[in-house]
Amino acid sequence: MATCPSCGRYFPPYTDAFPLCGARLSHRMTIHAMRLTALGLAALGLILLWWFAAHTPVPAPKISQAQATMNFAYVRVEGLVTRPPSFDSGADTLSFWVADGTGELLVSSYRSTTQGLIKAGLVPGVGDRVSVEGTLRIRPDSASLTLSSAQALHIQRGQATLMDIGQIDAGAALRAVRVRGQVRAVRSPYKGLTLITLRDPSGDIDVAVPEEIAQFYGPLVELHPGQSAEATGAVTLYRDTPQITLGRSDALYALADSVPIASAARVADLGTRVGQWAVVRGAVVQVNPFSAGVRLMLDDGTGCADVVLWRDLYAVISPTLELIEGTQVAVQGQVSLYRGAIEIEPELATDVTLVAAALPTAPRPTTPSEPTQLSQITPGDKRKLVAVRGKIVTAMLFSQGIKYWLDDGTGQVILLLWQEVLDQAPDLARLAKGTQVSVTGTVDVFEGEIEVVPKSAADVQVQP
Amino acid sequence: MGLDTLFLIGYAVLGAMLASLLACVPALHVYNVAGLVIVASAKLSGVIPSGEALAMFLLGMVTGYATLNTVPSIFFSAPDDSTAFVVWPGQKYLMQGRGYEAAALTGVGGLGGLLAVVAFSPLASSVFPTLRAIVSPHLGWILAAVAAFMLLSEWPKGGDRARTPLGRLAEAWMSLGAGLLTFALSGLLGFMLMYRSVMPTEVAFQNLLPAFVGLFAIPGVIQNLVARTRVPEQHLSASLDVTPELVARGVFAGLLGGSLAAFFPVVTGGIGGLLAGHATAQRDDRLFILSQGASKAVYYVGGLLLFFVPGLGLARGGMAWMLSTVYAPGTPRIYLTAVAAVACAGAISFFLLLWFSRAAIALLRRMDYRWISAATLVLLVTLVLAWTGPGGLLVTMTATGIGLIPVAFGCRKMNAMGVLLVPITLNMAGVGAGVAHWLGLI
Repeated sequence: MATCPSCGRYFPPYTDAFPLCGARLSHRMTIHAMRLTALGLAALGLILLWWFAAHTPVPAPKISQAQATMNFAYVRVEGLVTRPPSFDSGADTLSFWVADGTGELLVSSYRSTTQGLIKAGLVPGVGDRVSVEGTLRIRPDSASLTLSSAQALHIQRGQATLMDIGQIDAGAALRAVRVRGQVRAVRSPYKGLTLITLRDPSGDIDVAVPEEIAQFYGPLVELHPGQSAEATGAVTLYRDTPQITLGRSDALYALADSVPIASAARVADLGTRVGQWAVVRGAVVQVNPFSAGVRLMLDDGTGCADVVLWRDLYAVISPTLELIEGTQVAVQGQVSLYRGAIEIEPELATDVTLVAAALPTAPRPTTPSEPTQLSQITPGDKRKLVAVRGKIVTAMLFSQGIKYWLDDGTGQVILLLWQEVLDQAPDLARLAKGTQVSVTGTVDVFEGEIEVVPKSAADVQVQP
Repeated sequence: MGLDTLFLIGYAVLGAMLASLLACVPALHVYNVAGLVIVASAKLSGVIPSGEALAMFLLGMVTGYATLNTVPSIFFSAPDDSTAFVVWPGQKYLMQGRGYEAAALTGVGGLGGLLAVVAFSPLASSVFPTLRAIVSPHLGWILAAVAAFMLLSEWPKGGDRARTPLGRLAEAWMSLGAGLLTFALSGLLGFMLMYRSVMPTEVAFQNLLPAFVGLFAIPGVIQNLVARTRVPEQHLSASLDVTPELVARGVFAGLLGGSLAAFFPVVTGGIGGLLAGHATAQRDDRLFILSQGASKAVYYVGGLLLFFVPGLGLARGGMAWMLSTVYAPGTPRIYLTAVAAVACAGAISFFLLLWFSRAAIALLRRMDYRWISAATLVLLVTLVLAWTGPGGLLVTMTATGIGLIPVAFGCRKMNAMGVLLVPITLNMAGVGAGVAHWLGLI
């Protein structure tokens, strides 16, 4: 009796196959040979596969070639980073878009790869030329690539070109640029993005600072309007308007030297500089409050130009700078034309600087000493300075100030107190009916009604 | 129910019928055919007019395949990764002339599994998103634990014949060591495929095809060729040796394993079945076959159904990954249509299973078992070469070497799932790229 080589049970002699397990008994391959074959085949195959893998370049298809059958392909893609990277700190995922001229691809990294990139300072910014290796993931309407490791990303940062802000247009999109200018505004349109407006003599541009770069590269320097700064980043477009997007925190820093943002000009030459910025020095010869602020007339000896100080700006300037007739100031702002007259429009309080305070003067000879009867004031007196006296008969608040109807027995006019005047003397907003007041102001006509408009609170005297 | 829905269910039934036929071709995996269908669908928009129709067709194919792949695994001993566990008890039944009964038992288990999937479907959109949120951060260690369990639960074999204690220890450890070696080598292969596959990028979505053919299909075929086994006359049983209670237990165990496999990435039907088998302490061959039938049905079909669950967006299994490249579901209507399609396709597939099992038995009577195996081998090699080129053939050759280790040393074939478990677990643990770098792959 012998045993079956397959199941080990005893079987009768002279049989070709064991009836219980069905195994044939002759011409059998030995298990040992099978083992050696299996191990040899596995080892040889793995060595060959490793050799091929290690000695062949990673396929580098164009983004437009990505198709459904390439799902899970390990590939290399080269291109420009087109949008700021987004970072999910909770999931440790980083993603950015890469374009190679044929299409755009979302590149993502997870946990250890993301941490590796941040640690190595290898988070790409907009405009960086990158080479990424990873696994393609194809969706019905998009393609993405999962970065295999931090080492699978290579960044080639472009040499930033120093440019005048005014030279930057949509054609410079994704180019690395460096600009110097004065910070004009710092604002945050939504959480996660800060926009810093930089201006130089050629124009202004927003520097977009994504919140994520502070997480990648440390906190950003704190800048305030009026400071001069240099920014290096890539030009991106927001609704076709160029802006500079920062890729690193240290790409924006304050400059020790002030960057001028406007060149000096004479008033007489401002007509040729409409739309540009200019600095004008001169004396204030007239201060005219109006509904939205104060208009200064500036005379530099070559001519007069209006300086428009909007109310919020005037509110910042007026406590520290007495803008009265005779004050010598230097004003920088955009030159514009309004109803045929040249205007300069400063943006910040620092755009208006005191050159010399107004000299103490004798009472203005133009100020009438005797009050004018209200019935004698006609629309033909518009822009004339008058002194009036009367009792308040009616009051009406409006959005920009308050109107009092004055009556002196001969007639009525409106005493118009703009908010700027009320800001100087808040009590003037609470004058009771019947209160006697003396006012020096300019005659104006609005919708057929005669108004007397004082320039400051000092021009309104309340009689006891 | 609108005409549109009936139309879509019709596509699923067509898919099931096609897959039922193809599933009987030994070692031809539904995912390989599905790849062809997806590629062809772009050019045959008149035949498959929409993404929804394509999705239903593929869902039907998966349902048909999940039920019918029992036929080649039992009658031709050509398993895939999810049926590798069924082969041994299935072969046992085959050698006892009870192959038809084994196939029917698997079918009953599969039908029970599909019924459970359909019954559970209304709860899926509320349960799975929550479950996913809980489990996702822990996937790394869960998969590592699954791999560890798979390796540690292997029982030493053949340690009682050597003359010396050291010899017996060496014999006992031979199968365990072979299991570990299979796992390690398949893991190495997985790394190479995942990071630097030698196959063309244009067919990257079939990266695993040559590996799976080599790891699971070809070793079984080679085993048939060299073992020179004679298949005894098969009996077409009119009844099954099971009780309703046994069916319920088998389906429950299969549902458990299949659900694990369907929900967790990388865990296939076979691994899920292994876990569920241990969890429910199965000792009965009938119970085992029933549970494996249920497990693979839930794994294949339930896994793909997860793709349709509104608000979940979970792609599990090769079919869902392939489908996700061309179609994005999301509406409750399409999800409910998919569930209905599974029910219809599953019922039809069960009857087709019985019919094709009889056909396979008839074929076994007329043809030498070894000729079928040889033809299968030729078909597999041709398929790999046609799909993935010489690079794919090299991968298949390597994978066959690795897949033969369990055959030659008597350890679990499931250890070859290291091809997915090792690289993906290490990736989830955040060290995959480091290992690939160390291996010189990236």
